[in-house]
Order: sequence, then structure tokens, then C-alpha cells
Amino acid sequence: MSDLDPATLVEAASLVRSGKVSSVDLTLAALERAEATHARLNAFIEIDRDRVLMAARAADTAVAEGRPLGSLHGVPLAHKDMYDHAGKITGCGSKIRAGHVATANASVIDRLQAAGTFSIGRLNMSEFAMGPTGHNHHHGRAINPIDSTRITGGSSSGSGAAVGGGVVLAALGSDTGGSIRLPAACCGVVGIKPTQGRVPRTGVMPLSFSQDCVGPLARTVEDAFTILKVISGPDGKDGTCVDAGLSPLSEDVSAIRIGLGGGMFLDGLTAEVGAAMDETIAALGPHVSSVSDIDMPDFGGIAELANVVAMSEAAAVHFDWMRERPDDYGPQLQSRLAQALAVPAPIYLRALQIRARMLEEFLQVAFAACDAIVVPVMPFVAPLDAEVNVGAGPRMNAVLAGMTVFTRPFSFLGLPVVTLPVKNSNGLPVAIQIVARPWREDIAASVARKLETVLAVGRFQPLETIRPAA
Amino acid sequence: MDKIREAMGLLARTYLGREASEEELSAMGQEMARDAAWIAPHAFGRDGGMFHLETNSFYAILNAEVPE
Repeated sequence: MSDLDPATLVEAASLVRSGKVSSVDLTLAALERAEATHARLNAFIEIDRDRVLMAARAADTAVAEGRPLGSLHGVPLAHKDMYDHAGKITGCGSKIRAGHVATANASVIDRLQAAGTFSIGRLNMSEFAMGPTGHNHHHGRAINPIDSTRITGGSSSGSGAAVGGGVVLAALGSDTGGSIRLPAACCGVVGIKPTQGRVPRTGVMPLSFSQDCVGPLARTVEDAFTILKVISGPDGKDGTCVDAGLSPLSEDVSAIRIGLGGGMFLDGLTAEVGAAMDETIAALGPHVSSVSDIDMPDFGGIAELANVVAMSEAAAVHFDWMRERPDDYGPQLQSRLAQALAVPAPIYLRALQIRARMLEEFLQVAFAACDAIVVPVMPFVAPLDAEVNVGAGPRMNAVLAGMTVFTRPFSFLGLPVVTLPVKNSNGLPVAIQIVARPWREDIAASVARKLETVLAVGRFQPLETIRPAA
Repeated sequence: MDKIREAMGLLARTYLGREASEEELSAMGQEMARDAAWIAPHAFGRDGGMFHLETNSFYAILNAEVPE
């Protein structure tokens, strides 16, 4: 790491604050990485060189004049193309919104700017954040920074590629069924899907209003948690956002009881994922109060339930364009949105009823004897592009469901999850989810940080298969 | 199966004002089959098990967990 490529957000902010490195130099270095890797990663839909350099110069002036500085002053980031920046395009990875100019900042962008950060560009994503593989009919897929033959995961595909590829230290993603956790897992970085209602969604592209969560991808647990702290809490506009407080990370996890999620979370694990789980639990054991198998309630139909809620709400958001501009969607998204027409209203509402009962049961049963639950993110490592690039073909639903089989349940239940790479398996990351009770992101993140220290997996490097995007 | 396709086509014509593509019809049919198998007969609903359950209960349960 050099001063122009610091390892963490905290280090970057410290360098700028101390005057050791200017924000302009830090930003120019990030822009250079973004431009140099564009052909290889396709992480950005737009790089905003002029505007971001103005922001960096203003940040340096503030340092020089001794003005009060935010906690992340002068640090360049980049965000998924679905967060409003006043006067800029929020394209949602789509053709339909490709020219939409926002009139105000999203609340989370306001908060990140108040903390002193700015965005160097709009990151690639699945069209309208619908697609766990990260494919995009209009912009092409972002490329996995470790292995170009494999997917980044989605829908926060550019966020995974940009953070995993070392372009920026952190990025906002969004998660409705796994869209932060899957790219974090495939690209070897940390992701946090917060509790439903932790982070306001004002000025954020809607997908499924009852399951959408805003959260970070970052290189370290502490960095991801730092971003979460900045963006959390009610904004007075998003009525679903709750003032829940966020406890700090704790070095000491010795009182935490770890539960191992069995049942469906053992189905179809590949050998490398199974081995990674075993090694992770063995490494964590000495540092926590206990590790034990837990009772898991019957999750029967949870993928279908979560999907019905997501598709019904998405179709409501997209209804007019489904009527008026169907051909402006990519084929896969057009088919997925049409699915919702086959969902009668009582089935959608029944799914919401079941959601409440399932959460109640999960809290009572699964968390009866533990404080955090550990399960894999996916049953396998990042799939090959050729395996999952199915468009709207007959395998579409099976492939999409297979990607999200371990992530969707916790979206449906609204629970906080921290995703962490725990093993380097022949160069590819294997990642886990650490799930906590509602509003206890601090517990999940503290366990994750302990594992991060104990396992010392480190950053993932590009394999020899890496090559420019097609 | 033909009747399901006809029904799906009718839904598209009625609500979207256009013919559905083959891919859309297929996706709609698969959705209906999955929901019929997993959601309609869900065990939580047996014997009126959700008669008093409002959909907003989810948020009440979640928010009851907010730390003091």
C-alpha cells in the first residue's frame, strides 16, 4: 500500500486530515485506477472526473483553512447507479432511466457528503437491481476482479468489482435478496445488509419497498461498519426508517454464542464451501462463548415467498413502463416483471402474513440459544459466466433461485447480515454470512472482525485467467 | 397447460394492453405453479392460523427488538 492507495478508509481520512496526502492526489489516483481498469472490470457506467476533482479541491481548501472536517473528509468513493446526486443522472443500470437527472441528493448521499466523501462515478449494476448474477443487457456485465471468467454476482456488480478490484475503498450497494452479499462474496470483500429499516431510502431507486436495504461493500469490516454508521438513522422522509441506535464494534466477542445454521443451509454445499465452513468455525471457537448447532424453523417455501413479495412490489413500481416500454427492458427483466401478473393479490398478502409469523418463529427458535448465526453465502464459489448467463431462457428461474437460496431468507426476515470472505480456495473467495437479531449489526460485525483478524485471508489477487472484458 | 397459457395471455392483454411474449408467458406460468405449490397451502394458514394476522405485524415484531 502507498499513501495514494491506502488500505482502509480510516487510513485514507487520516492521511488527508494530517495534510500528508491531498484529497486531490488521492482522488486522481482513484480516477487513474478507475480508468486504467475500465476495460478489464467494466465497473463504471460513468466516471465523473471534472466534478469529483472540484470536490477534492474544496476538501483540500477546507483542510488548509482549518475548518471542521467530517470523519471521512476528502476520501473518494463510488456508488451503485441508483443513488440520486443532485443535478446528475441516476440511470439504475437501465435504458429507461438512462437520462434521468436527479433534483436532490439521496439522504445517504447527503450523509456521506457531510462526512467528507464524494463519488468518482456511477457503478455498474444489474438492470434496476434485479439480477443476482450481475448481468446487464444494456451495459454489459461487470467483470469479476479475481477471475474474468466468473461473475461478480449482483445486483451490486460494479460495487463488488470496484472495491474488490482496488479502485475505491468502499461503495454503496443495495440488497433486496442478496445484492450486497453476493457481489461481496464473489469479489472477496466485506458487505453489510442492515436490518430492514436501519437506513433511509429517500432518493434511492425502489425495487421491493418492503425488502430493499441500503448498505456498504468495503475491504474491511471496520470500513463497512464505518459507512453503515454514517448512513444509518431516520431522515424524516422515509417513514419506514427506525431510530434504533447502533452500538459500536467490540474487540471482545468472548460472551457471544455462535449458532450453526443447518437444515437447508447444508444442502448442496460444494467441498470447498463445506471445508471453509469447518475451518472458520474451528478458528472462531476459541474466541467466543460457544459454538453449537441450532434448531432452525421450517423454511419451506421461503424462496417463493420472498420472490412473490419482491416481484409484486417491483411490478407495481414498473407497471407503466411494462405497458408502455416493454422492449426497453432487457429480456430477462421483462420476463421477471411479467411474472408478477400471475400473482393474485391474496397470494402477495398471504406472503406478507407468513413473513410476520416466520420472523416471530425464527427469533424464538433459531436465536433461542445463540447471538449470531453462521451460514454460507452461496453453496458454491463464484460461478462461471457460462454457467449462469441464461438470459430469459427456460433455466432462468432455476439459476436465479440457486444463486439466492442462502441469502433470500434473511431479506425476507429483515435481519442484519455481515458477509465476510473466510477462505482463499485456489485463489477464489469462499464467504460466510453472520446473521444477528434485528438491529444488532454490531454483534455480527464484531464477530466478523474477529474472524477477519484470526483468519487473515487478506486481499484477493487477479488470477492468470483475468482478461479484458468482451 | 394450454389453458394456463391462455389465462396468462389474457392477464397480459387485460392489464398491459399487449400480447405477452413467449418468455413472459413461460415465466408467468412457472410463477403460478410455484406459488400454488408453496404459498397457497402453507402450513401457517391451516385451521385459520392467520385469521387475525395483519401484514404489518412484521414491522411490529421487528421494532419490538429495538434496543432500549
